[in-house]
Amino acid sequence: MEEERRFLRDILLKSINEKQIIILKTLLTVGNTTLSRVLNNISKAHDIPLSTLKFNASTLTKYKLIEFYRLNGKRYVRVSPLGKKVLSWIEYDRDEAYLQHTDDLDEASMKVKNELREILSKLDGFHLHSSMTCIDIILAILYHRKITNRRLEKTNLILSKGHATPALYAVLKGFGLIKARDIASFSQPGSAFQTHAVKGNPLIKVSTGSLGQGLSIANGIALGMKMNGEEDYVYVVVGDGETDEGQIWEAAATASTYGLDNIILIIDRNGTQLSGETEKIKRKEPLGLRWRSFGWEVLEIRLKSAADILYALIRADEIKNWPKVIIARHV
Amino acid sequence: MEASFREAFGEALLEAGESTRNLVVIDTDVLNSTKTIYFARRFPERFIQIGISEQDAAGMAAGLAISGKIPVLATFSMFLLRSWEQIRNTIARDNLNVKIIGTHSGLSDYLDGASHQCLEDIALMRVLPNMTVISPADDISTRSLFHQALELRGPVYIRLGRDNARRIYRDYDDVTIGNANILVEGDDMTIISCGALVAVSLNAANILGKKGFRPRVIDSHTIKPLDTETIIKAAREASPVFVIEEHNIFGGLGSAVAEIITERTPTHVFRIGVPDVFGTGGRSYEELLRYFRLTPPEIVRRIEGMINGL
Repeated sequence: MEEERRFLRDILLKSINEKQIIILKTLLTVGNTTLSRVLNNISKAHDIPLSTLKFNASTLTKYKLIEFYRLNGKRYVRVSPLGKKVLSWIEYDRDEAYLQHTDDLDEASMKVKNELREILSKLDGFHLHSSMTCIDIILAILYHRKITNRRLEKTNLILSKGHATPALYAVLKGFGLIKARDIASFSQPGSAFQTHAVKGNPLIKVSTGSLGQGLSIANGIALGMKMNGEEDYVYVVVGDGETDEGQIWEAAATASTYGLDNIILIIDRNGTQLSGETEKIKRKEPLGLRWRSFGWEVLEIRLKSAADILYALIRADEIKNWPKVIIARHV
Repeated sequence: MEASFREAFGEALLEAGESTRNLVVIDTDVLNSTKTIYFARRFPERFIQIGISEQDAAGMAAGLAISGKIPVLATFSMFLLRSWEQIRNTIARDNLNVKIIGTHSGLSDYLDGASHQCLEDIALMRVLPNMTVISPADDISTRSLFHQALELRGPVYIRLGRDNARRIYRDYDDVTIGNANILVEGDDMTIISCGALVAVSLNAANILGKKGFRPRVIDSHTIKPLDTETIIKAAREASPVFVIEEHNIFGGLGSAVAEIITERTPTHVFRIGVPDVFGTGGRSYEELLRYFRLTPPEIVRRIEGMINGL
């Protein structure tokens, strides 16, 4: 069985080229899109001539690895079931490594979630849901840095949804960046470990708590880093509710104007905000299209475990020239 | 000599660009009006155009400060106030090294009218912890205080008029952040002012002198931290105290002066400014000063009336 898969993969790799694999993988992570749109994006992000991509896309169509469908009068494209199968055989080797990460992350996730419950037990579950839905995101960011040899203590992480700061404390403790005694004073007057992020704690470069402001600040850090010649990411975790704020969209336009490809924005699309369902309070959808129209590379994922974020971060690593947003839809 | 606040700022910014390599400028599509255009032409790689989005600009300034830059955020003081909460929650709270320049403050944007005339900024900025608040009186002090602000670590708000800056000082060394300047010595009343109305106050003092009064005139260009020693001394030696400013009488320099005099050496403090109304358009700055009774003869008349009422 094992040998058979290896054999199959080798044959496939002889008939499918790298550019075709990029097209398939990109299509897997985006929502409704037209072929010309996605090829344009890939061309810019990977520096591949558009004509080359068009040729490869026609090959993929011919072998039925991608398929077209109609929606609202538009002709969209997606990976066909056969295409998914082919991709999984090609990615076979990587799957092995991913499985290891998945196991590691699942275990870590359980640990930090227990830690979070413990921290918030003192406060009658202060914003527990908000922290719970983004803790895997924070965990995956730090885990991704670890496996790509980026320094954890240098992480530029802006928690725009500042009320989820307890999730960060739990993850920091999980990675040994803070000790249990550090957070003993959590939420007490004068403590550095407040309910909302305060500058000075490990990984907290800026205080947050007022919604919709994190991306603007991250843009400033990202632009400053580019001016300084520093190569690293600025991660921003944004709640879906706070995209109600106009400032988020001001910042979205700024990031694409300046081509801030060192920004990775992750939207915790948990579907709820303080007073109820997000779509009833103020419409957010189509969220992916909104970000795409602002000039962002959009990776939409179904968030079942922290590993889903990890895979998206690995994908985001390959995209250049564009700011990147991962929309993590909770299943 | 009649100079211009924004020209003075634009030139000082250009000088600072030469000497301070990590200085960056953030604009919200008003570079022609604020005169950051001189810097933009000379240092395009350090000039950041954000478009008409002040809240985003304040966040951008915060981020740049975090990455080690010295950001100068310059825009109309009125529209800067759209980002007051961002300034409060990030720049002031984290004590970030951002220099905020509010141009066209007070009545100086005479033609644009109430929507553009900012009469609230001193109140809103001086209430923020960590914030230094400065309102220079002329072009020389604008240049000098701006350069000094760059040397301070932490957020500074500098309130500037548009043009109409009558020159008062001769030398850059004449002004120092935190030290109020006694421009005229006197012992039977004190006139405290800031910004463009310092020149008006000097003219008023001149008229008062001819009438036999001996007013002490103080330029309190630094509103926070206030030079309490100079003000308390004046209140003790030359009472009553009149505070003249191009700001709502609520919350401005007059309030700041009244707060400390009431606590330390109670005496009469009269606030002469815009009496809790919005601005209005006019064809010239002088016309507006007349409308709000802030010309030298009107101020003298009001001071005499207040003294008679004591």
